[in-house]
Amino acid sequence: MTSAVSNAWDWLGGVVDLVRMDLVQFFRNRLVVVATLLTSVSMILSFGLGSARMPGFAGSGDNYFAFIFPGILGVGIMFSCTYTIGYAVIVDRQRRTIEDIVLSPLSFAGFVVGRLVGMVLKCALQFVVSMALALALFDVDVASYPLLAYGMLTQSLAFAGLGILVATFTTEVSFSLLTNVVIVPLTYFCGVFFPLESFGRLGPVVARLPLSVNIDVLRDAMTGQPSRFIHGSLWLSAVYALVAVVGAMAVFRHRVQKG
Amino acid sequence: MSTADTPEVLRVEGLGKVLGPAFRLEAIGFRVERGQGLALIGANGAGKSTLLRILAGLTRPDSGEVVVCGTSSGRWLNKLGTRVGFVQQFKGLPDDLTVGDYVRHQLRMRRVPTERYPDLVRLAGLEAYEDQPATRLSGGNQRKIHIVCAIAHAPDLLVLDEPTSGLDAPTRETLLAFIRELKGRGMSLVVATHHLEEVRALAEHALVLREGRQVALAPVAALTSSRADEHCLELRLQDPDLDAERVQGALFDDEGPADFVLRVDRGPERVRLYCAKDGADPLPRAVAMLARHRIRLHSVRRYEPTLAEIVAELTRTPHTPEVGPKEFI
Repeated sequence: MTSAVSNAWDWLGGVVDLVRMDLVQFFRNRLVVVATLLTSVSMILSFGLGSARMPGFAGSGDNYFAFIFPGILGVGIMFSCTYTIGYAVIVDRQRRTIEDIVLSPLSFAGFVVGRLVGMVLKCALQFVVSMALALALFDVDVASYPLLAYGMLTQSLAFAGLGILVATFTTEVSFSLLTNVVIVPLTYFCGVFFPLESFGRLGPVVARLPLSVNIDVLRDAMTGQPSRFIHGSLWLSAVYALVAVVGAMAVFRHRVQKG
Repeated sequence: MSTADTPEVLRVEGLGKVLGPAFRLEAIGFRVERGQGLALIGANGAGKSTLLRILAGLTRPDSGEVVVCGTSSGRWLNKLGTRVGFVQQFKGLPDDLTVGDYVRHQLRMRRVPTERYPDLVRLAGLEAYEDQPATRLSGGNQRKIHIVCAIAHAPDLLVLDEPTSGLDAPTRETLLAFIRELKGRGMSLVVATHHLEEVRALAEHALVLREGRQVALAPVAALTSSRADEHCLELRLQDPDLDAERVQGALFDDEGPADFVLRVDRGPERVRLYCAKDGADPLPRAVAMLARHRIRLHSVRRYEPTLAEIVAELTRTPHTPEVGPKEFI
């Protein structure tokens, strides 16, 4: 028992150290920090200034910006998590630093958990800066911070898992091509720019796509006015996160063992 | 008997690995004792790196067994992680981390007390670079970082995949001295290499691979000295182009042909004289002949085959010699 606790403690220490080094590298490279924040900040500023006086949709806030802001956050998290962790894994593979992890007592799961936690923390920074900007400059409210945190966490994990899955089998070039095949259609179909009800009979189907459920949760957290899909969105966002993380661990392990 | 006293550090028996329809590693078997080195030699694609990855625990064999200090790798990948250190042929370092950051991180990851850090950095001679970004170090120093990280947990066996590839001659010498020092401390080595001087410096035995099969396992001395030819002299000339022509002329001077020389093999950096086995030592005769014609020698030595020539002979594959025309007289 003591040995198991000691092993678990050592494992946790390894994960914490991996996360710490990830964040040290992130903050030492100012260009990466700026690039991470730039997309969300520029979208918030442009949509905030350009659409704050446009009428919104029923049940989604007072103006169009109040409607689109959760979508901007969702898209920001999706691109950030998928690309950042994907390229990190590709660089780890190419530089063979992954092999250090395999040869260490940390294990595959430790590596993936470390990378995911680092990604969620970096994503949280982008999320907090975006929220602070929108709350300070534009007419945005938050009805439930716990629900907001839940939405951010589950979406980060889901798309970080997707990034690891794709990066496990691709190079820098094929990674972006394959990733775009998934996330670009999601950007336009998943309720970022207009309500899913506009899709008519297709609405309930589209509402179950990964980005749709995440934006639905974020929008509910901000407006406090749940959509008719919210119950499905709440549990599906957790399911997507779990499936992506477990799938990423399994596939990544298989790939590294194959050499 | 403790593992530290066990003479046998590594035993490989009947090892096999299928890597696809075109390549398989099969029937590999050898032993390495404590403080001894085994050189793995063979052409590119012979299976050296695959074998090393299996020994390091990165790839699982399909058949056979790898036993390190009495512990079998079994079916678990990296069961031998604490016993083995692995230095890959190509490996990068992370951006934005200093040498100190990176090595300390590696120690924590390998669950090595960080008190070992100063000793390891001193051992590698990297004290002056501790605060410098790791990626800005020279190739040799980067390789040293990988080696000190690989030995941080004091493994019984260090597996090195072409440790000096891409390094200049002085850096190679420094690195070989460093690895030799580790070996002198009792660490066993398995090293894949294409350089004869590395084989001599690091290994007592050599295993030759060809297309995934083990074609020879022998003491290094037996591989090289048995193929040395004292009737072949290798000349390094001060002016390779001009003096090589004059060597040819000297063999047919007005005092008559130097009939002890049967053949001249001219390469870009050296000229080989294949001499008759007539009972006389050809070295003094050749030196006298060259001196008489004022041919400026940089060095002359009795021929020993290159590693490529040894491998070619053992694997019975045609060896492409160093570039340069062969001229017969």
